Amino acid sequence: MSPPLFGPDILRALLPFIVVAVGATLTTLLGAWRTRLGLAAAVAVLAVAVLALRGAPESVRAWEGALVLDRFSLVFMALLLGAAFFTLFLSEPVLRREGRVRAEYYGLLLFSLSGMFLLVSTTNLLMIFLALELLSIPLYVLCGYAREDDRSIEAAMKYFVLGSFSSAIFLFGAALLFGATGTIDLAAMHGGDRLLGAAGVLLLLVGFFFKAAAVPFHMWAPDVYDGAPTPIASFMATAVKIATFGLLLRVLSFAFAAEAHPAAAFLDREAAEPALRWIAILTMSVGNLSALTQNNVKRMLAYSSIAHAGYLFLGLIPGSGAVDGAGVTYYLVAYLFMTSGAFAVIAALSAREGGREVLTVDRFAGVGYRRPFLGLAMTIFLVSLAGIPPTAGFFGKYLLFRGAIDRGLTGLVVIAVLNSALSLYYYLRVVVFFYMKETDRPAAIDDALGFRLAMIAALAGVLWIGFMPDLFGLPGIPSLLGWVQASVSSLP
Amino acid sequence: MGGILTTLIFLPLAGMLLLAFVPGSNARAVRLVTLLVTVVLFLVSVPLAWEFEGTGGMEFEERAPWVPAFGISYHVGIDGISLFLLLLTTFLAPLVYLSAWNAITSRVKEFALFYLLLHTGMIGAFVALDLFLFYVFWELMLVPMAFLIGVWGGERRIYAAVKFVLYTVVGSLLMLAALLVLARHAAEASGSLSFDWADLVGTPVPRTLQMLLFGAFALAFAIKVPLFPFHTWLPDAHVEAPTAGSAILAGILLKMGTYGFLRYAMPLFPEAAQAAAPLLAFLALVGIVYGALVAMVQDDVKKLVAYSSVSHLGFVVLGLFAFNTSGIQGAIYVMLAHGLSTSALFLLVGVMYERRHTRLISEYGGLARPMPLFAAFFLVTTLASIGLPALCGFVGEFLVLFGTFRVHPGRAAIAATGVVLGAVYMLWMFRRVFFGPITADANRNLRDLSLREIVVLVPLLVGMVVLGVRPMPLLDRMEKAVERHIEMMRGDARAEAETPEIRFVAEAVDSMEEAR
Repeated sequence: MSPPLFGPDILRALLPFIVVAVGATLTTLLGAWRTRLGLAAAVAVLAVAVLALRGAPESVRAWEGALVLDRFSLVFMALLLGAAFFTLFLSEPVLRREGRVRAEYYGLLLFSLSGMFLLVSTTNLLMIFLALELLSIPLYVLCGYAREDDRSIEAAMKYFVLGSFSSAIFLFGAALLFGATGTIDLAAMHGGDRLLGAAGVLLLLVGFFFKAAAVPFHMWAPDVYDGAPTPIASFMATAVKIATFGLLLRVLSFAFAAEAHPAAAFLDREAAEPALRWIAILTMSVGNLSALTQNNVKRMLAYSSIAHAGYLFLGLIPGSGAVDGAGVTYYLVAYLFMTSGAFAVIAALSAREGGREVLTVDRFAGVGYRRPFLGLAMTIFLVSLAGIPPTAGFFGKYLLFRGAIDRGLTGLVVIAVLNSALSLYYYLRVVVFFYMKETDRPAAIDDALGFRLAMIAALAGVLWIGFMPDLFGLPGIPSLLGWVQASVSSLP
Repeated sequence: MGGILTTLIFLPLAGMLLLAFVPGSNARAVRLVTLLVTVVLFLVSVPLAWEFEGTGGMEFEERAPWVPAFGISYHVGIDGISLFLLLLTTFLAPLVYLSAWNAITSRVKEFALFYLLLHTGMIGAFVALDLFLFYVFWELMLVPMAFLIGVWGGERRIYAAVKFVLYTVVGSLLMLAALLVLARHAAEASGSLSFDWADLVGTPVPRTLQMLLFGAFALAFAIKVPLFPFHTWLPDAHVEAPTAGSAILAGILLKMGTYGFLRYAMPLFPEAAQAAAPLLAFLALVGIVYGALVAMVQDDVKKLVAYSSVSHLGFVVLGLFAFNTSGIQGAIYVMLAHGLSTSALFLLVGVMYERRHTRLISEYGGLARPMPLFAAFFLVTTLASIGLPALCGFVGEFLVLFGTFRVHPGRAAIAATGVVLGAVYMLWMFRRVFFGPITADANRNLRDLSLREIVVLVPLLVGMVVLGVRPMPLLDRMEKAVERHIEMMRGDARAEAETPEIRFVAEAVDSMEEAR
């Protein structure tokens, strides 16, 4: 019996997507006559989306995998909503400071979010492509949102050219896979031409690696993060990463699930594993080594986010077991809080001078004493990014590393650990300037409420997970680890 | 309801909370509150000394689940090894803070906050009995110490702070990886993941794995000790740190490394520890002699004291790797004695620096005339540091040499030269600073010790004398725990390489001890 094409369950499952997409359209339209209400509209849309998410059914599969709503997609959608909230907090004060408050900005943000929602809740290749484009195109625009800043335009251009390129590669891979198996549903792929299938999976993954900014497909990331408005950089560092790793987890767990789906395993484990290992090693090492030499803090955070993608890759290598979905998801929760927090601090410090952002680290001298809370918060975010206890970042790393050791990847863990030690140097450098140096040209500090709210929320998350790594105490998420584990149980 | 140990861990945190309500502009109030917190900290810890029974097992144990899903529990307790290190920590806390009363004039509140946070880390690391909990406290010490050096330090403070952090972190992160491997190995054997010390310590680990894991642990601890080739962060950190920072660094933080060896690296990986003993003992010997020689040629008093620490800590490591009761007891005793005498030396150097703003030996000379009281305090501390009998340094060094001699007479002979060299560089420095004619006019009218400085130094001095003349109460309380540790690292080390002649000497000394 084939599943029904439509029904109340499917409608409820579609509701979160409909809310965000329709909300995005309405918010954009608002630009025509009440453009200042953009933030309010976006917050309202996200609030309704939270409700829709809470009411969504937990296992729906429809239309050849075009819509897959399971615990996994729900957890990732919740994370994406969190990232979107952080971005909204940062956006309004930055837009106001620069005199660019427009509802279209929020509309584009929501469109991008709807693309991410789709990306984490589908196994259908065509749908993945659509979702990728829906995610990316609004971001190309948002990267160039600071129109008078040539670096912002450069960022948009770079992201657009390389993004389209990676989409094309992905599409090519999808076509090959379809040719090999006769289906576009990842979950239904059986048999077929192995060589063609393997080539397809390879191209597919390269497309994703572009989006995840994994070395050697990372070249665009520092320029784009640096040039894009800070809230958008934050959005790309958190939401885009979360969505991409959600997708990677799903695809790789299908590709590696040889026992459960013998025919689905196009990836030859023996061939794929070393490649993934090298990507993990390169991504964390290149990210960290490049971050070492950065004087611009935003660029430093860009490289640091590449390094963190490298740590996350540890969880994608099956080793002697399976893909470590729980570890990756848990790390993403921690990563969301600490990265959003760090970007909130950067946003508060990124006033423009002569049309350009000045974010060199020496301008931050003494900030820790001028704004004690901001200094303390930044110190804790950076310590957490470096993985020092008791913070969220530490337990994130702990879980990833433990999982990797359990799967026999001890060598990789040692490299990751040495990388963490390295990273402490450049994170610490910011703290050194915050507290231990002085300057006669201090940076302007923006005390807008949005920044402060974002910092408080991020700080609460980082410390809460740091002190009670398993207990979360939110309605629906009493045990963080349990929540994360339950979510990946719906993967093959 | 927490017991004493939990109270001790969280008291400094509560103090930080209290400080949050004191305006930073009122430096006096901040100082008083902090001093009060540290005094209370000490008073709370005092009953431990009496109520401790010395059974050899863990006492004052407290357990609570922390993250059951990760196999991590809040498990604290002390035995004869950690008891005295803990007491040393709480004893120094108010004294060192009082010594910094006038030296820290800027950002007094921030200093107090970091100072208290540091104590939570140190106390936690000494009492933790869950390896994971230990690691958390171990790392917790890092950030406040880096701030103490980096904000309130000397000219090259930032370089020193960053160097301190990077050295420590490389070692400790490798230790974390080793910890995870060990826990996984133990979980395979027992079926449940646990980081509890008691669960892990009995787990048999295959030899090759032991060597690797011991290597990672030993590296982390050797950097912290610091053992010879890893010591280069120490002179920088000591010279640049403010006086109070140096005193805590020398008094407590350096003991973390040797404590780590004794509590974790050696009992967890006994075979590897035995196998690595010659290497570590060799490095310790190099440290003893090298530290002493380098100390001798320093023209900066503080640097001299810093290098003397390298030498003294070499004794500790040497004693630990003798694998016998007197060696290990001696090592612990040297830790305590060094904690008292070296932090006192740093405080005394701080007194000089506060008056003259230089630490160069050549700037001084004839100081005994304007500052007789100061000279007297300095002399006693110097003598304690070089191990004059009846002062604290003697007992520990003697036991270490004795314990080492029983198994490796050659090592003991080399180490003994360190004692001689120690006397040379300390007394030579003392002579140049305090005796002879007054060469610089600025030294002519220096103020002698103030009442506050005397209040700080007298307890330290009393401590040095008490430890020197009444060692038995301490040694008795340590003995069972030390024997239990030796039991854990059983490799028949006691019998190892004991020639008949040596056994004869040893028995003679044993009977002398009994007679006493």
